[in-house]
Amino acid sequence: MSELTPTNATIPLLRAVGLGKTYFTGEQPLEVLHGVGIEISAGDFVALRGASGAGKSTLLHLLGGLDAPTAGEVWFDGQSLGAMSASALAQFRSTHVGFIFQAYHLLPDLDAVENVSLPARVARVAFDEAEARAVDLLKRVGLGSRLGHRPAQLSGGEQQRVAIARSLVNRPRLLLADEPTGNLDSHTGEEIIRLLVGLREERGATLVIATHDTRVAAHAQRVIELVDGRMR
Amino acid sequence: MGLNYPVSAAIVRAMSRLPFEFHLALRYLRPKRSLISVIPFTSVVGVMLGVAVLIIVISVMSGFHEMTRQKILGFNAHLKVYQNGVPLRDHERLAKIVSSNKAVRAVSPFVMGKVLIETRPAEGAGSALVDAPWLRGIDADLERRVSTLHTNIIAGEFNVRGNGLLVGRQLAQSLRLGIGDRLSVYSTRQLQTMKAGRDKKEEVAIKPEEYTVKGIFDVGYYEYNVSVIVGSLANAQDLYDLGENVHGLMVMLDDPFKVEAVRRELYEALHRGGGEYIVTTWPEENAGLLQAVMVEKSVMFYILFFIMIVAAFGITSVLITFVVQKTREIGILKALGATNGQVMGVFLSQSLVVGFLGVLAGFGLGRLALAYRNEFLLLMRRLTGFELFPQSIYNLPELPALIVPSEILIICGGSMLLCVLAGLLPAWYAGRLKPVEALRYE
Repeated sequence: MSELTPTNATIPLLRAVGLGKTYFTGEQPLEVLHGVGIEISAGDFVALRGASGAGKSTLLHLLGGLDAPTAGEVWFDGQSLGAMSASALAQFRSTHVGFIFQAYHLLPDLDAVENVSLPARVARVAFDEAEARAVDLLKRVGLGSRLGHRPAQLSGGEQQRVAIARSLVNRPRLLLADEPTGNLDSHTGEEIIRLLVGLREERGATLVIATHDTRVAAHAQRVIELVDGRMR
Repeated sequence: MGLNYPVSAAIVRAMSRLPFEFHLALRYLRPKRSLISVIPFTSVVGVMLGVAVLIIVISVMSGFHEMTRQKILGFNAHLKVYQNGVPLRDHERLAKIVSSNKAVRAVSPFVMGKVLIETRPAEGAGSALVDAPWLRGIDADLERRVSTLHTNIIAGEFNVRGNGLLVGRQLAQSLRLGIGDRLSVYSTRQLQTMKAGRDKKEEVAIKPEEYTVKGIFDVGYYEYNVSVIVGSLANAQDLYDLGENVHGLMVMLDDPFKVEAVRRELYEALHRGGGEYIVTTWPEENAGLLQAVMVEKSVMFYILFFIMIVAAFGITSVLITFVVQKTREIGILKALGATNGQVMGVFLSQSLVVGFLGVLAGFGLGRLALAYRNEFLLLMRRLTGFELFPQSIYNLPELPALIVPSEILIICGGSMLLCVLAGLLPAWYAGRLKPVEALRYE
């Protein structure tokens, strides 16, 4: 294991209790998550496995403070996300969370370095420092020769590498990856997972991957199964 | 690309160093090969046209204003000294008191009153024409120092010796007068004599004064050209039965804009010598005209500013389109930790950039159009045959224009402010988007 320094050994890094999410968009309320409770310690690598529509992405969004639960609560390092203001939540995402999405979600108008340095710029890291971090990370993910390329000029695997580099630029303690291999062929997907796992170990970050793929889940230390919005 | 690589790369590098909100806004505005990327360009053009039209119209109006003022200052006294309802006695002594003021450049006595004139056309040259202009009696030598009349003679000469008369251009036209033509002048004194005679049931024969047109002037101001004739001071004194007295003193200053201070000084100096005197200034005497030009300019400004408001609405709709188009990217920014304020900042920066480019281009276009305004009018006349400012009406050899920095600043600053305000609503909407909903947006 990597050299971890959790702020408080007795408190889990991430804790969710009785987490539920219901959408009220149609005629019938749609319950996507129900009574989910998880504890994830600092440095853990957890896979959320389940079929499409099982609520994996929703759970990931709730854990990363991107969305608010309709029931239950999420604590990060002992702090309740529900008690935070919008700007405090933004600050939390900026400092502590790195998101990786299935569709990469890079900004098409920015090149690789600009995309990777963007979270640091958002966090008001000085330009030179942000750029240096981005270049280092892009080299680390094997894109040292593609620094000035835009997303449209990169393959799917390369775009996901850029997205992984971006998720790490603010040195977050929590990485949340939502079907990171979903849009990739199995060979490239395997490369991406190996890269992600390697980087997590290097940096001692906590990684939560949502996936329907058992091969991806097999890399994790712990697998949480979700079926129809409930833990099994 | 018009720029060579190192220069454009340097610009891109410099842009990257801006706060990310600005950097993104600039990137979003970068032209791409799609129809959508033309949209921000159209709003820049809207702002540009609004600013250019405002600058052109307001500068031309300022030019008119300044020209009017120059003309007024050219033939009107900066200050006039007179007594209420009675002729000015002892005007030479008063002129000395006035001249002793350091700000005074020249003093000249004047007589000014209505007269009745009748033309004396030659045999077979039509019937006699009648008019009732103002007669201004001047001291020819002193007049050279107090007005531009002597430099504005367009026919004949500046000569009021004997019974010589100077006639304004339009008056000469309407009365069909030329150099050497003769005129009969009836003064109010003569009319009073006639009235007194009739009251006493006596027949009084009035023999009018005979004058000869020696010169025709054009001071560039229609009202003056059509209603004033100029004769010698002695003749005017005689016509008005003033003896050695005059109606008042014309005072010229070195700086016409110091009239208020000098007025107070003169007022005090004259009152120390005894007697009630009235001292009026040129802005007072011409208040109607000067205010009319000012009011016209203000009204133009307000009306034209609506162009800017329309342009600002253009920015609002462009930004709304943009925010909808970029919804998913807004979600990404929020997932990366951007606050509502930072997302707002991206779109406000965009309206700021559009506004800045529009104002800058409008400023350039406005200055260019002003520099070539007369060439443009000439071209328009050649192309369409239509004269925008007919010389017969406006009597302008060319369109005046005066660029007043403070006015340009108000136009440009006000337009920038409007552009930023126009971006507020879309930016606020973008800032409030929920990250997960924005991310799901297709």
